[in-house]
Amino acid sequence: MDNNVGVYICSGCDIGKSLNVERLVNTAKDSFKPMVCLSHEAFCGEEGINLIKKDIAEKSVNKVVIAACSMRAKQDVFNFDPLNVHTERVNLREHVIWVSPPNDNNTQLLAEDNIGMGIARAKKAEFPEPLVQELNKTILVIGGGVTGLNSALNAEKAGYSVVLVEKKSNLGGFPYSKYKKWEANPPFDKNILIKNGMDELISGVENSKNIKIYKNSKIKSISGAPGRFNVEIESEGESNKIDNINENIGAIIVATGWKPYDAKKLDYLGYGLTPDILTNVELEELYSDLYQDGKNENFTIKRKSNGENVKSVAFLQCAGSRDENHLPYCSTVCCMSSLKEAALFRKNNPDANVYIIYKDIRTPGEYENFYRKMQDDEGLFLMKGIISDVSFDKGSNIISLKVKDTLFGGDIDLDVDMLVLAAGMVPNSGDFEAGPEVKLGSDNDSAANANGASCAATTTAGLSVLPNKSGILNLTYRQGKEMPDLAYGFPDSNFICFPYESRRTGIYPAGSVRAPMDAVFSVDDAKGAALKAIQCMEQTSRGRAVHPRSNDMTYPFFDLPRCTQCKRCTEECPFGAIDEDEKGTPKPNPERCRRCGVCMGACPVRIISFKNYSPDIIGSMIKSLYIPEDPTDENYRILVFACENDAYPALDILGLNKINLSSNIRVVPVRCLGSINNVWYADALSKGIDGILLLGCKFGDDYQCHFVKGSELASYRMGNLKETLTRLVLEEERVRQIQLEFSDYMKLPEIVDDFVNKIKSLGPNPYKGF
Amino acid sequence: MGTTTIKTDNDLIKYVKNVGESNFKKCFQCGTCSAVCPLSTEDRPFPRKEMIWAGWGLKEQLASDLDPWLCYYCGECSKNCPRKAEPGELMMSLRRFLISAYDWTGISKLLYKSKYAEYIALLIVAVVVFIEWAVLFGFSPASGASLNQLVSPEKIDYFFDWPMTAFLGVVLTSFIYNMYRKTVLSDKSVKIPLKLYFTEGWSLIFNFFTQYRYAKCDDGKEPFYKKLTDGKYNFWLTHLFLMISYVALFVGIVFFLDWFQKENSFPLLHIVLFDYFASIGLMFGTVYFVIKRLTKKIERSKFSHHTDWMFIILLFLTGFTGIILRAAIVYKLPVPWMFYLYLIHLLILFPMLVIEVPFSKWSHLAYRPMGIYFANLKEKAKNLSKQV
Repeated sequence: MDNNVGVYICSGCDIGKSLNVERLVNTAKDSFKPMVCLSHEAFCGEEGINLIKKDIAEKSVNKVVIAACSMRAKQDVFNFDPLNVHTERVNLREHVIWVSPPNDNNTQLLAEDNIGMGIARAKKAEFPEPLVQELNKTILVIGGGVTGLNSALNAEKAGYSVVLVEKKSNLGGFPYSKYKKWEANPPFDKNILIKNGMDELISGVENSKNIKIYKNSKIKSISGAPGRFNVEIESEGESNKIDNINENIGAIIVATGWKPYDAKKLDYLGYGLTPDILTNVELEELYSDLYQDGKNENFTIKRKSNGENVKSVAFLQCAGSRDENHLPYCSTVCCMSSLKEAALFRKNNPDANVYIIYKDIRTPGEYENFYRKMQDDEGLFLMKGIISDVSFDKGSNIISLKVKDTLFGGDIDLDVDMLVLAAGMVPNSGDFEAGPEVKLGSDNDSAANANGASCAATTTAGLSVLPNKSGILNLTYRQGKEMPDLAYGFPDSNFICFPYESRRTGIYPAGSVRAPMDAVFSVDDAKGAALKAIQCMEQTSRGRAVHPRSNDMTYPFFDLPRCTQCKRCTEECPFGAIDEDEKGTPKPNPERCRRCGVCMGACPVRIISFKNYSPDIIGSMIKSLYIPEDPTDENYRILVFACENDAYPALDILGLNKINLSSNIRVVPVRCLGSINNVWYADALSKGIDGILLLGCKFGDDYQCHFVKGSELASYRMGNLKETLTRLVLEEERVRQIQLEFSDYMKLPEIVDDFVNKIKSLGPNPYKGF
Repeated sequence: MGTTTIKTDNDLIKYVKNVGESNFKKCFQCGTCSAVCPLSTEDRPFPRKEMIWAGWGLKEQLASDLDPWLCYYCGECSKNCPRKAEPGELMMSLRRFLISAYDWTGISKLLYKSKYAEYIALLIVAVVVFIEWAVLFGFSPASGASLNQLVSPEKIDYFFDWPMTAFLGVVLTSFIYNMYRKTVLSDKSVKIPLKLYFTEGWSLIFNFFTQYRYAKCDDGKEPFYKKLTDGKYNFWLTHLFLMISYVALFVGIVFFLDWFQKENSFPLLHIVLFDYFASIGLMFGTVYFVIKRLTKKIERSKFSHHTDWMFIILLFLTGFTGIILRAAIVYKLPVPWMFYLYLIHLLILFPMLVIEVPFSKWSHLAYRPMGIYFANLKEKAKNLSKQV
């Protein structure tokens, strides 16, 4: 491959006024001998860009180094064919002149180093060879409830064929069996309850030629990767005959919904004392049965215990929800459903008083109108309070409630005929195989949320908790059978940025398995997940990455003959992309890969690389730096590994605000802190770098890492690094990781100054000049 | 702060909803109403607790509650309520409920429920007056006779004024006793020493004649004169003016009817107090309130129940016919005119007094000061027992 480097140093945007561009050109020419080295007052202008294009066309320049603005700016202008021209952006504007004093020697040195690093990287970088393949583009939808049906229908409308798997004998899920639902469209202020609103949806799916439906079916196993999933479906046919069917699938939407929280655990609220104490789901079933019995709207709700008309009923909200001992979260639907059930009660038993005892009524958005409308009913009584006792008197057949912390300014006693426990939703995301000792939420999450320090006790950072769950997807992946959870059984994804994502590429949870939600919200979720699935199949077949490195055409290359089977890459990949054979040799699946480079960072023998991002490429950038040997203040050199997702943009914004930053730092953008290979620390320290600062995303249970575990892994690996430093008689404080949010850019000068001062107090790197 | 046993009375909720325009069921107990109320205190967080009692139909608590009588409907609560639940209007509705709760005859409840009931009640009294008049004075005034010869003040006193006053006295007293029973005697948490009834007596009289709590409805920090010149006391002063005028006329007419039918006894007192002060007070006051109720610009006058309208209209008409009659006497108009004018005046006056005073809007004349009096008694007694 020819290495025809062209260096284009822009003097626009005040770069020319703050730096000696002529000197930059000469230094670049002298030090790196590029084929072309030019300066111009605006390379983004027509004249400037044509200069570059001319060089590409006439002089066969294939490595274009543009020293101008941030790589995040003008991407539409500097967009040369990536398969034949490598474009390297050197940030002289945001990271140099906007944060450093003009016409200063240190500023000039910073610019020279940045250009040097850019050229070093360009020289080493190869052109991506995207993995373009003919792939399967059928979407598998697991679950035939509201979300599943809507996903299937939307995918079909977009022109894709769908395979729908439903475990029950009918489609429609839970809402289908319900007697009545609230209306689907705002403003919800008429308290209209609708019956059988799903028939049209179900028949739409059933009549579609492009949707293949397997009822009474389960997923036996899923293997492969996006675009080439092999799905084994276990289908119960007529006369209980079990058929095993294989389907080739492109992407998967998981719409397995929810199951009610185990009511037996609600015995402290009286469940089990009498059949008149029932859960919200049981009440829905009761309504449904009463309607089915007479096919008549005008039924009366009777007590299960003695068949008499119900004259008073209490709904107890948050029964076992928002409670650390049960479900710590809010299921979001129970307030609306209790209000709806109350409306039915008032309609069918007009003499009955309905009491709703709540911690908070949560009817978000326009649902508030439904609540307000219900408030007007003089037979409905809403009471904030906490239930302190439920007792049942057999003789009088009366349920007595004691409620404390009420707004009556004291406790209340309330006698009712029927008590409804509004229990929460549990995601139907598979069951733990370990048995009853594995508690939902608590134990597993504390480990999942542990920071780097306590992770050292486990085999690999945070990954010891990969689920031993099964029953839904039954993946044949090395990292487990189901999607990893974030908390309480809900699938993990960077939910701030990417709803519908999971940590299994090409598998998109939607609806109430993703987060508690009602049917109205599930419809939107279904559309989102369908779009995600389509995007994944299309991108993958073009050899391009999906979110968050959308369109990246590189993928990791494993130089397997040199592999030591340490299994770090297979364990640490946040997306479970890498399987392994019996010996432990990794079996990469590029279609599952998100291109974060965590495997590259993990590999101790450095056999994993991308065409334009590898231990060697970044190492060369570090080695290209000029390290002055005079131990003066301005000669300290701090290497900053900045995450491209948040930290690098934060530096850009700081520049935009023209706030000065120490000129001692040299910024190397990385795909993720998790991609930092320990060899780079060695490269830097042996080069004479005085300190290394890692700027990356927050980790922990409210992590912001775009690759879920990257920043946490970096922190964990630094634990190992510090031992090495100590052995080399280097202070461990020379390496520091800072968790930075994008919006924290104003803190950057302080963070950097603080670290620079720390390094100065330690003195220069003793290996300087070796 | 004991335990409340919930016994909801759904009919009560409907009734309270019916006799006003409060959306008290919309309340979610944020407490803004009590926080902004200039009169509510920490021990008496009204109207917040009334909102929840009404919402839950807790009759026992509501019937024994004195706080509605302590509220003067400045409307701050309604203005600030985040749910537009109209707490101020609820307090008004509760006053209507309390009037019917103190009335053991059940008549008030009927009048509040239906405006037709009110029309019929007024009509019945008017018919009785008409018959009495027919029997006593007939309908053909003898020519040449003076008004006093045709309609003797003694007969009016004996057959109209005094029986009516006695009726009002007995009925109202029994209602007030009922109020006392429900609000003070039934409250087992407080025992009122006999001495207090006398020492607190001044507050009854003071409040009756000054309605000073009206002034407290504005808790702005400006000095008195500033509020006065800014018109912040207009409502209070007009109400006070109207009330004093009415009381003066009532006492004057019932006990000194001679004066009114003879134009020249105690001319100065008569002219100043009745012909000018009280007449102006009555006309100005009623017209002022009618305008307020029509324009609906201030919270207190935003909603008008049919009993409000009936009361203010009857009061205006009574005053108006009375003044015309008085003018006819002073300016010596033809006697038959006066004769019939007198009849019309009585046909309006008596229904108004007999129906409105004990059974409807006008009973607040007695309940308001009594409510404040009882509340003071309870509070003082509580403080005394705390000191012990």
